[in-house]
Amino acid sequence: MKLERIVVGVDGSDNSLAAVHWAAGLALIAASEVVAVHALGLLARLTPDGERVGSQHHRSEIAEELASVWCAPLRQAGRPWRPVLRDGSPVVVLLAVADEEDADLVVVGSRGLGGFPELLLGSTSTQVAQHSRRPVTIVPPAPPQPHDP
Amino acid sequence: MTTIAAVDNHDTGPGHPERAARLRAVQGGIEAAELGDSVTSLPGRAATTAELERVHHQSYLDAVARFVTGGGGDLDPDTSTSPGSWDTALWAAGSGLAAVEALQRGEAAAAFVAVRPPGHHAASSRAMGFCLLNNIAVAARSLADSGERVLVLDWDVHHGNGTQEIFWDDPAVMYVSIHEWPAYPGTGRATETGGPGAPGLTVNVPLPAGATGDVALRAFDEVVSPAVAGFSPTWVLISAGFDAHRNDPLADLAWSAADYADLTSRAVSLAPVRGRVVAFLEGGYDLQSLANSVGATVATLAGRQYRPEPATGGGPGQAAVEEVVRARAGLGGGSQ
Repeated sequence: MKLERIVVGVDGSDNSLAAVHWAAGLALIAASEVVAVHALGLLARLTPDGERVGSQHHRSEIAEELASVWCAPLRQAGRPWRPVLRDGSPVVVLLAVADEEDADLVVVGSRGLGGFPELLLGSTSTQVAQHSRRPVTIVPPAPPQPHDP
Repeated sequence: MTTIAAVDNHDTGPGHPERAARLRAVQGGIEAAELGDSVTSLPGRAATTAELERVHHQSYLDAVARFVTGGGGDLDPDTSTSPGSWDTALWAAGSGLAAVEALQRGEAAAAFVAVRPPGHHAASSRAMGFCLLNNIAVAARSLADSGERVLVLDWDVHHGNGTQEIFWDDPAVMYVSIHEWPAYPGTGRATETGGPGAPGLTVNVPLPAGATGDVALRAFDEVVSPAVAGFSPTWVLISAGFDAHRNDPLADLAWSAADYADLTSRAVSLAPVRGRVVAFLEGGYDLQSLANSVGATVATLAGRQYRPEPATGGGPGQAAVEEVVRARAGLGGGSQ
């Protein structure tokens, strides 16, 4: 069994940050490379105020956010890593990139943005686990710290 | 020409671009075209479970119905639903069938199905891109099951991944899409040409940001028409999204209302006889541009002219069209 390449889904949520932390820790132990994947949906083209964002500017901003903020734990781990930005829905994009990268493991947070755990279809993480041809790890959110409300 | 009025209890929440005001804009655009008695309205109907199951898996239908009627929420980061969304989606899918039935009775020369939510991103077991049920696929499958040869022409700016998936191996349905690339949903390369059961019957024309209407028309003349000629459709269904308009907030093509009129004219010419063209509203999120574009499209379907803004030209994309021509050179079109 090999663990050369890990693909982790990233959407900027706290849950995906937990997944990135976990993937970074595993990559350190197993000497793996990590590919951090973010799916660009339709609504990503609008600001919170509903204003249009030019596609190139928008992609650049998201790419910067992905690399500098959402993937910070990967930088800190010191293992090889790279971000992938792709148009589409999160489940479809994550599964496609995992295949393209010949990933040895797919890592997702337990609740991404959107999806609903009670649904037969499941949340994004459940759908990935159901349809992936590769091993999947679902990372729960980080436990609240003692000082958290 | 028949339009379908809509049942609309689909609340996507504040700020969502796929909103109820779109249908009011559609109605306003048709009125602005001043088509008078050339346009009549039908109320539409709900699709039955059996009609939906020709396209969508039963487990998917059950799960989505349960989720939506149980309170709704987000099916994915883009696709929001409210408790009334399921009934509205059933109405949207059924209204396409109602339009087909009306044309089969000889009641009109063509139909425009003004419904929401849109449908072409919905795959057999997946909701995405604002879509729950694939309205046009439900109608296309119904026609194909009765022996018709159906062309689905999709000019929404976003590739219709759901429709492509549903008919990937179906020799009775040809899927043609002109869309922006790269863009959501990330599918629609020129090399995606159909499965083993239907080789060459999927035609994708990806265009770069900024492509103008003249490029789309060139794609139609040099790629679409030759491919369709070999398929010889008996019906032409159109996924009529209007988000390739230059003012649309969700994409970067640069078309105008007049370009949609010209595309509609070409689409109508692909039908073998009168009364075999149905256009389905898909995207289009700038309300005034949507109104203008729908007015121009419906006028053309009614055999009239309404061009509230001039056609566009001079943008990039000629090379992209040439690339598609080369990619399809060895396919022999849609001959079956």
